[in-house]
Amino acid sequence: MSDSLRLYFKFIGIAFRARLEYRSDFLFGVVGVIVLNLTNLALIWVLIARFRSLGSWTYWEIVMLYSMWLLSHSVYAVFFWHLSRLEDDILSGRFDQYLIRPCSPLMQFLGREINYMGVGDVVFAATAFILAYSRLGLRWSAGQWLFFAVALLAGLVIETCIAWMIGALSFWMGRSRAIYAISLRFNILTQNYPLDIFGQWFRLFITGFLPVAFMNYYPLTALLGKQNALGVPWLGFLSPLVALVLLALAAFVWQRGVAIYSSSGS
Amino acid sequence: MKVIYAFIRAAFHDSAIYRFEFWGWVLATFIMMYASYSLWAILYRQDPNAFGLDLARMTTYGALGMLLIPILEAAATPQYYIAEKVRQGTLELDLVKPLNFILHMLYRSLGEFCAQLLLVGVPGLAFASLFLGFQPPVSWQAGVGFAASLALGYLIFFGVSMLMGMLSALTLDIRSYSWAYWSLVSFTSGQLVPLWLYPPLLGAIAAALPFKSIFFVPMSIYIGAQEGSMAGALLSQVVWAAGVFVLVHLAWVRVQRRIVIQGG
Repeated sequence: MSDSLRLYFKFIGIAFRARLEYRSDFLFGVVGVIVLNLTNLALIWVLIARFRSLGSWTYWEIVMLYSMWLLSHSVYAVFFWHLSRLEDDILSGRFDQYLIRPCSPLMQFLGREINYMGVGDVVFAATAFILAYSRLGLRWSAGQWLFFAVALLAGLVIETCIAWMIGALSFWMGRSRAIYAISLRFNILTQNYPLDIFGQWFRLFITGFLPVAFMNYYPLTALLGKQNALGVPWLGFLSPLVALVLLALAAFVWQRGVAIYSSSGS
Repeated sequence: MKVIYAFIRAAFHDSAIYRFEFWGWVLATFIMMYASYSLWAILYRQDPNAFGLDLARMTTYGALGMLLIPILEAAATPQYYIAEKVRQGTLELDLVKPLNFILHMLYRSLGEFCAQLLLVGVPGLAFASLFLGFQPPVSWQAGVGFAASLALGYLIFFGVSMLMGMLSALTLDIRSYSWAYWSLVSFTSGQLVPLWLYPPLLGAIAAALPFKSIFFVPMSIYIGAQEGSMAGALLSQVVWAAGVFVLVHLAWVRVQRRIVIQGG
């Protein structure tokens, strides 16, 4: 295990240096991501400038919801984004390469790529979060900060494991990116809007089945002392548990998938 | 005409090959339509007087905006096509084809547009009518106006995407800015929020750009809430379309001069 990790960091270092060869891409990418986030928040601002709030949520509360999701997502985006393209390796038979080397296939796959665009996300999310924190006049205790940090980590694990599991589905189905596209929609909606505005089945779906609401909505309602959409106050504290369950599930699916993998033979 | 037909057929075939993939995209569109519907339903409950129209028309606007994304996305085909060819270094193969390059792109994109209109548009309309209280156009004139306006909006979007595609020679990774480009288009086009709800300054900026012709003009005609007369709105689209196509032509002439074919 430790050997695999050491190799992983080596791979990532190589991927990073390879990326640095394309300076203008890096610049375009970071600027692009910041523009994307700015316009997203501007759209919500337009709505709230007109309607004062969205349900019981004020503008800066939504900025906090948005940036909390983005903080977790940015780390996912830098290191694990290519999980969504696992199907390419499986369909093309490139996955063979990982199996013949004496190193964990997962570490080889993960270490192959690094996505600089996430850097823009980190910068944007941190800035937006600090702004929202001061605008809301919050004074979190050390315990609340600790919970916040744990929730961020849980959010990272949740998003990564969902992508990992969907990617691994292509061991059986060949293609699974369409499922990824659907999960991405739920992710984006959870990032942008409080769960309260959606109907009951939608709430249950992103709580119990595709638990992206544990990335930002439930922990944040707990931290802000707001009532959540299901009216179960302790749900927010479940996010680390949700993350662990997903991790176990994803690792299981992955292992089964690798075991039944047969090369495309081309 | 035969050439256009061939491209349309090819686009339909593509959707048939990746059938599972295709239904995934349709489902993703349904989700976004539902989300937009929910958003307007909540805001309407908060302040019914802010809209100047009834709830059903507002949620119809919201759902329509989401349904039009996969359909109008066909207009962005050249952007991805050119970027891919530049990356592979095989753009010159397109220059020797016995078909004007801009027309080639238009046919390719038009095939995609027709396929999406039928394959996503019809299930989308069915879904929205069944579950989201989706309304037909306010009158038959509005229906005809919407169709004409959508076609013009498509042409303008196509032209802008051609310009973006030619610009893409600057960077290899088109993904990095295509998202930003889409978000700017969606922001200034009224795709999610109708422009009359924008604060004055932002509204004025959006009104001065061509993007409102892509989503806002056809959608507002559909619900009978366009600014001024329908003929005036359509005329402004015609002017934008003409302007954008002149720009595309000029840009393409310049790009052709600058292309260097490397031998060996």
